[in-house]
Amino acid sequence: MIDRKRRSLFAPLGALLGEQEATEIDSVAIRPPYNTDTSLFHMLCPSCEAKSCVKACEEEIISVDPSGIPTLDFSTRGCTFCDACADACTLGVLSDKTINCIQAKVEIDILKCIAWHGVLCSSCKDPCQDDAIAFLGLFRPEIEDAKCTACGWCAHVCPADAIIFTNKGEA
Amino acid sequence: MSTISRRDFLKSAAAATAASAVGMSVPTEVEAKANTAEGGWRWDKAVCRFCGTGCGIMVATKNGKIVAVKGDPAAPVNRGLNCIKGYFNAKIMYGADRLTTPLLRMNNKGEFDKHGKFAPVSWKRAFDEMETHIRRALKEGGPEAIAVFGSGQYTIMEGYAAAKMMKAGFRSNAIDPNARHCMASAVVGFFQTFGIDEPSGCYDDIEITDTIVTWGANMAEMHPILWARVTDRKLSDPERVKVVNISTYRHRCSDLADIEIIFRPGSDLAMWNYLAREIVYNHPEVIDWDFVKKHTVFATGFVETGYGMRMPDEARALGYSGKELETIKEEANHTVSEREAAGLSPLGYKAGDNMKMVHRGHALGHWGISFEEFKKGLEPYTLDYVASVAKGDPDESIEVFKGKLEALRDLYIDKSRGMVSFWTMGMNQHYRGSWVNEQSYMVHFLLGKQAKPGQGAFSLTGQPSACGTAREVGTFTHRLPADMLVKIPKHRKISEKIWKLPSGTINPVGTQHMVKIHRQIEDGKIKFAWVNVCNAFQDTANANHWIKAAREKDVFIVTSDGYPGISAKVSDLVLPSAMIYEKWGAYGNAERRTQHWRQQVLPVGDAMSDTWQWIELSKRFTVKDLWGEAPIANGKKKLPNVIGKAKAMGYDENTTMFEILFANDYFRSFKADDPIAAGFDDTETNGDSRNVLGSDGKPWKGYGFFIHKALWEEYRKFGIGHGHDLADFDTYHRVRGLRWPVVNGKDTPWRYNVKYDPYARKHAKPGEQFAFYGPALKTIKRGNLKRIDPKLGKLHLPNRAKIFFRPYMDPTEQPDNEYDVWLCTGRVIEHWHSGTMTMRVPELFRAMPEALCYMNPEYAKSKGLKDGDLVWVESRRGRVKAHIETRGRNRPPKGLVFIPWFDERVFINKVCLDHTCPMSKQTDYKKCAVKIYKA
Repeated sequence: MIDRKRRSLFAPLGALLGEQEATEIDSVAIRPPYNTDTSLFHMLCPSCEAKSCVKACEEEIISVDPSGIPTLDFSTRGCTFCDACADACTLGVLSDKTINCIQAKVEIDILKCIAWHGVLCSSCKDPCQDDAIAFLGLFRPEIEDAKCTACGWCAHVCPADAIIFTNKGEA
Repeated sequence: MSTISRRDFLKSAAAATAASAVGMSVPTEVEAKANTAEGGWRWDKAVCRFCGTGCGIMVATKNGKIVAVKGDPAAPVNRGLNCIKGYFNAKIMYGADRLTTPLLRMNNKGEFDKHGKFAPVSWKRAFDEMETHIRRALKEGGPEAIAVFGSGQYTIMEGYAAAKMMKAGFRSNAIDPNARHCMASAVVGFFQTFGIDEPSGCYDDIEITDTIVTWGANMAEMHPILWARVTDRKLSDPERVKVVNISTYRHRCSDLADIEIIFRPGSDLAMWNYLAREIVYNHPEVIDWDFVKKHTVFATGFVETGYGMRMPDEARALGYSGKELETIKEEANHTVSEREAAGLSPLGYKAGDNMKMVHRGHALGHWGISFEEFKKGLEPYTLDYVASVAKGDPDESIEVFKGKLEALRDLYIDKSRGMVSFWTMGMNQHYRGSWVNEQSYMVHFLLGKQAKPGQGAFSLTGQPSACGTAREVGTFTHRLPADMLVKIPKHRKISEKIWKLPSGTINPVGTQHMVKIHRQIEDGKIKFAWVNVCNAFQDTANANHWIKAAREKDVFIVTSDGYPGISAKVSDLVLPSAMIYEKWGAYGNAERRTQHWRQQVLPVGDAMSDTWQWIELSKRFTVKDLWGEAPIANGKKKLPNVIGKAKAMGYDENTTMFEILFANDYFRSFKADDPIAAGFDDTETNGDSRNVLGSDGKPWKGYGFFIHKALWEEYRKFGIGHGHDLADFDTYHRVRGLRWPVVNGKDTPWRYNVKYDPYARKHAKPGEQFAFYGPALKTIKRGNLKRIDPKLGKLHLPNRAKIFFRPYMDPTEQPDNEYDVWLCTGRVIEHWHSGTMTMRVPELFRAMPEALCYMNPEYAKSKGLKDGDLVWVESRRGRVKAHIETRGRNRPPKGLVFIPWFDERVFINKVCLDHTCPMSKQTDYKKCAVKIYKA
């Protein structure tokens, strides 16, 4: 689970989080990839007893939120797009294995990120297979949306907890 | 590509100060109230704990606790920037398992027991045990039986106190720093070439030059702030400024580089000769003959010098395995390979010849040769030969590789270009490290590109005070302060005078270097060893031997540290040391810049500084204990009895070393209430509110005089007037460091150049621009490429430097059918050395939690391995497990793996070979042969 308490420390997001519970979960919950219709998460997942996507995940990043919907937790690892969750899903929620990206907006909080404040840190750069983090010289990293798959591998290595994943709003 | 100017950098730093003066992870709530919170903060300048760059750090404390750290905007080195380690400087002091009390291995009865478990003891008991074991060691083996693993991370005062007690008190030269592993080859390069240690240039060269070549230096990770300056310079004029990265594998410096040259390990020796050959044979018009003729001579030396290993018979007798002996046999006899043959042909060798290592004992020997001889030596180093020796990536075509060598040559020989060649461990940790250092000056001298702004071969230092303490104070076995050597009678005499010792006190034999100390523990010769500010048992290659020796031989090992690293774990007594901002200190960085700081906070628990530990130990020994006749040089020589002379000087038999060395009238003249210290803690001088029970069992109340200033002011007497001038203590507390020699309050950016260096002005002949005034090794014999010719007499070289010819030779151990992969080790940006400090910082741990085995993906595939697999990495000496990383920051070519050494769980030094440069005795951690298979 994404630690919502921690997230609430981000000022821009903090304002959003005062809203009602459902909105709150939706705005921070990141869903597994391979989905073509986000409404299926709400319609089919809560009643799914097998939750086989959770067990199938080799990286152990899928958990279930209070509404019974699978959600991704990037606090220790990320997604490799291995397709195992899609192979395990029998309800057709995770159905399109050509979608090798996660529906999430990834941003670097420039107030938190130490590389925006005169510190040479590039911890996020290493795990990024898609070279989606662009540095200005050696500083001020930004995520290039066009390249980023939101795989989540950069999140846990960040010493400043400065990489924010938000739902794009569909689910 | 977007450009970023220094103004942008500075603006960014300013934003950091305004928006997030955090340093330590200050909770957001606190940050929000920063303006009010900061009201009670005391900001003071300090220095970063980690690498040799020497960044300035601002430390904020409140109520005796550090609340923030940030890059010092006023510091000329880093201009407010920090690397990720530097940013978390303060957090290294507050790890959960910080050592807070002395620990002794004991049995159930509370007696010392080598096989007992660690239990807390008082400082008094700790010193009692040390005293007992030192007395026993002195009795059984003389002064050489007590040894110290010192450090390039000692503060200058710590190193000075340790060296003084060892060399003047115990009369033992068995003190050597881990800096031996770090820059000893650079030191030999400086002494042989210039006759005086340390670089001629400074960091300002980065902004002035327009060509930067890194030879075995991953500056992007190891000197990140300097790399930020290189990046700034490159991006400020991308067309003109060229960056070349020369390495055995791709690393982060390649991101910025215009040319990346991946070479076969060891072949840098051949590449430098290629450059020199091109200059001498094909582009003689670029030789700066005026410079060369006025300021240099040509020289060469022995090649049959071994590889710094034990001799085979000696290793066999100690039970080294047959596998190990396969490599060790090279120490006595080497068969000249096809690869080496052409390069060694001017010396009369051909492939298949047996090279008997007859000059192991005279590796430093060298003599003058003519330019014609020098030229003859270079003759074989053609583009074709060097490319065949040096191409390091099997997937690169030889034509492409040759094209890169030619492009490199074109940059060097371009008269209009500034040229800075940087190196660090790639050239220093090298089986011929001193040679390759000398070769860099060879090329720069021929071109006249040295000792001028923006021009020079520049050795970057690894540790924060490898220059300031290890080298300048002289905590090496063979050295005394200010470049003096124990073997030179005049130098001993000068030291004895400053230290107020009877003449004849200082031991003239200084051969117990770091690796030898380990070997002598294994031999049973050393009976007492003390680890100071380093992790000697994790740091040293072929570690299985040294760990076994530490636990099984009759030796008492003490480790002073902040945390229980491998050295503490193999010790018999562990002492809790005060860490960086818990003590007063000073470091000297890679550009000769000396920087001081004040104690910012009290140490954790009962921890006390290493300075205090040394001075307290000195209270336990008297004139009669230490200054009688004593055996040295394995019993072949004797140190004279100087007790009579000591009495004549007013000491008596029972005068303690404390009174003579540290609490004499001179030291006591520095008053405790010095204005520089007003408002700051000084645990050694005044004691502190912890009232730690000291070495006598009573609450520690301080020496009562300003010990740090006393140590500094005595120390700087050594260098004044000899080209090593340092400023007074107070000055350094006002300025952001000064580059020595500091003459009339002014620092010296470029040495040997009359425009910038007052000593060059003093020594240069009228009208001349340079004077290489270093005094060492300035009378040499003459000869030809192969040998000394006594008939030619001697050369006297005042104010001249030397241009050495050195051939290519193969690495000690190379991949073969069984051990088929090169292993190279090194650091990563997130962690410092063995990780004892940085692995305790959660943010740094998270960013880089384990040492990975960086491997070429195609190569992994060919071995049936993939990213993330756990593998065994095995050499003839030992094996470790590590996870494979094929897509990380380091991208080796097929046939080479890189594994950093910060992680004690991936104890890579069990695998590494303890071969050294035979001249510098610095270990080559960059080259050995391993095999890799699935765990």
